[in-house]
Amino acid sequence: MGFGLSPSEMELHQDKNFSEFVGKRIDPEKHGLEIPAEPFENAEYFIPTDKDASDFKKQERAASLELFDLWLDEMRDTSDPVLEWMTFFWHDHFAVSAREIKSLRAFVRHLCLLRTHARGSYPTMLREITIDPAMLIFLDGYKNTAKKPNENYGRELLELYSLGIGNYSEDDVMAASRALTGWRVTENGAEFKPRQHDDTPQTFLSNSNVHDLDTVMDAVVNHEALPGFISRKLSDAVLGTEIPDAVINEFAVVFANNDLELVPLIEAIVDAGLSMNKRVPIIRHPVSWLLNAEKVTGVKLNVTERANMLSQMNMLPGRPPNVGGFPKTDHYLSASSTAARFSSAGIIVSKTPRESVALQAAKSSNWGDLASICGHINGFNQPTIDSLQDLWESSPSSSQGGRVCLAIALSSPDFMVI
Amino acid sequence: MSELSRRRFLYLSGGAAATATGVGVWAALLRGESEKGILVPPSTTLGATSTTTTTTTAPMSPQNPVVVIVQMAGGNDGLNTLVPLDSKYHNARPTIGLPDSNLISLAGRTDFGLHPALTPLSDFWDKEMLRIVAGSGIPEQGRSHFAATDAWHSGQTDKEETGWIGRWLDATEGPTPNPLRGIALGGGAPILTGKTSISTVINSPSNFRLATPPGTDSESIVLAFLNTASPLASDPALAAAQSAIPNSLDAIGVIDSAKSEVDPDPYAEESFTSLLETAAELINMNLDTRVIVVSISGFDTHSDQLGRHQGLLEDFVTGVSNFWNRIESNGHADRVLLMSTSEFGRRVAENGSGGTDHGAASVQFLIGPGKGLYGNFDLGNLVDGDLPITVDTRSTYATALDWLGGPTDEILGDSYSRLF
Repeated sequence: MGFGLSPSEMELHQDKNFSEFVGKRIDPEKHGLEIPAEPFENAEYFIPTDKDASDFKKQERAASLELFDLWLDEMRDTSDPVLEWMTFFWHDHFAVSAREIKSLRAFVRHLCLLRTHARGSYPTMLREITIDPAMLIFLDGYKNTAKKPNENYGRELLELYSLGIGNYSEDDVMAASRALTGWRVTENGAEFKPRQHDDTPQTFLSNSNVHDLDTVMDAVVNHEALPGFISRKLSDAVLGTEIPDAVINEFAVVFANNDLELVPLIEAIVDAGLSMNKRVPIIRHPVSWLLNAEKVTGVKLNVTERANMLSQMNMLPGRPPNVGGFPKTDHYLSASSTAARFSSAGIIVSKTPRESVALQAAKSSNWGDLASICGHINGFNQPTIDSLQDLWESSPSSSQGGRVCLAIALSSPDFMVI
Repeated sequence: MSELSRRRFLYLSGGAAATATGVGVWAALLRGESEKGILVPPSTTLGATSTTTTTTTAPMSPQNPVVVIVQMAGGNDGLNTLVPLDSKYHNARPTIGLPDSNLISLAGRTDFGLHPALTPLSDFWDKEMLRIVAGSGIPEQGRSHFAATDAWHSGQTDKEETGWIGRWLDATEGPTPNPLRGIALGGGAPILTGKTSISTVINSPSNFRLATPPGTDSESIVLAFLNTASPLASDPALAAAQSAIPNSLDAIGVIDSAKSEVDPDPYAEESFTSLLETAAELINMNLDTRVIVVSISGFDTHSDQLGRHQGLLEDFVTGVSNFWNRIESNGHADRVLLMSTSEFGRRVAENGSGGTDHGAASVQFLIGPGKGLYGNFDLGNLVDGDLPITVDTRSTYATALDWLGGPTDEILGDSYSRLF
């Protein structure tokens, strides 16, 4: 979990066990570890508010880029990689798109909400999300009225955020939608308008008398399908999709027995991963690739470079393509994402500082060291080693050879898998 | 930043013979079927000579039939696309219903009219080149985005991980795999997912290029990148990342010469029209490309539908008309069948937000030889407030697979009636 280690972080963990570090980071409070400050705590100051200003759109675009950059910096530099990894996981799960909601302020609050609850209580997060202004805008909840219910949120609540297909009926979708009518977005958050709310008791997921936010949430979080559904989703992201249902069921039991608190679930999944003989490698998504590349080389890309690279690799944080979140990772092996990765690696190495440990390893054709720095302690795949060696030997100087070889290491298939 | 230009790539990929037969040259190189010698950089400046560019148009591959699939992603509202002249329609849609007087009429039909944005489609109708399917859907597809999308992509209602075109590519793959037989432009295309065949997915053709660090030898770096791909590792994830490399390099040379001339803003999303222009050019290149999938998104109109839907349909019809003009003037129109799909229709009744929620049956257009209107919108027999399915979407798939030469029933697992 996390977005990679820089050579200095690697050194820091060399004597200790990195998995022990992650283990402690899952539950920092218990281990007396400090939790980093919310990176967007002061973000609102740069969000433009004067909608009448002639350059409002320009200001908003600049603020949006600044936010995007702050977020990636935090993912890269945080002392709490588990927190950032989980926050990004929930971003993919709830998949609210800044492009759709068109309110940067609401989007910042949404991200803060995800981070606050990232390893807290799932029922609390789900309840907060349901009346989060960004979500109310994203899935039309703010237009959901007693007179004309809009079922967009009600459906995704059941299908994507809690139970999964097959565990609810169309009537349940409608019942949830009616019971959640009356929530409006205001300047400072969400507000409940009783006059637009349909308080008629509904039968929802076999519970009678469901009529408002609390009763909907009770029925959802007490449903037997929820623990397994969320466990599967988190496990797939951490361990890959090959984990059998029987193991997922064990995670679900832990999750259910701990009142749907996330820390015990994350611990169970990470422990299972550590005890597996051979973990199945998974394909890295572009955000993970980019941040790892920055960490390995010590390059700090600027916001335009990052936006360009990630948009060409087809994954922009804050802009998942649809309600299902970012595509499955093999999507990022498309012809165009592959070409963009190669071109991005070229830019990164041309900016890599001379003293970079990775560059030094490449210059001295020390492929074993370079592989370790790239996170492959067992070395690169043989074709990658052969290719690096050929390229290095044919290069006019070790300095140029080092840079182009580093580019190949970063764009190699090896660096695409975790 | 030096860019490998189109011509350079054609040179690198061995020029005429290999490109024109549609065989992935980089992939062939990895298999040892090609001499490494072709990669020696020429002594002159790479680029300018016209001999290397004309090679791509050499008509070396057979003029095989082509299917172009336009995905209207998000669930197109069929009822406001092909509008029934029926009071029940207006009763269900008091604010977003389109007035009868604004509709584009279809010669010979008094029961339906087209959305006013779709005027150019009536020309296709008059030329006997438009088939319209009303009430298309896959039984039991449900109203979920994802279940319905899976069903439309796979042509199955149970969990199927391959796409219906992917299975056709598997079934008809020649001895030398050609990833350019199936191409998706503008995003991922699960429809092309096969078990053995590989197809080519290009999110944004205009940004699809390779760049190497300044002052370095591009050829040797690209070759080094390619060499990391072979031999394939036993681990499936690593092997998948390896296979992507020759596929990408092969596609670059081809797409670079096919993409539309205008260099668009790199931040802007690729327009539907420009994606379809690339598609028309790919057909013209005779790479034995058989299926091209192009996506146009934004049809999930839960709110403020009227203006949004108008804009989407304008983009759709502009792109399609422009595409058809191009393939006609290039002499390929006779072998192309264009078909629109959408994962579900929308509810008959509008919601309170000036939009429509997920429904069942929708509409499909097929442009190619012949004319007809199939199925209907049965507003008198709604199922849970949805239009009933009157034509199984797989009938249109069967028609398209026949067009490609089949095997059709084997791919779809059953025999569905054909539109023609």
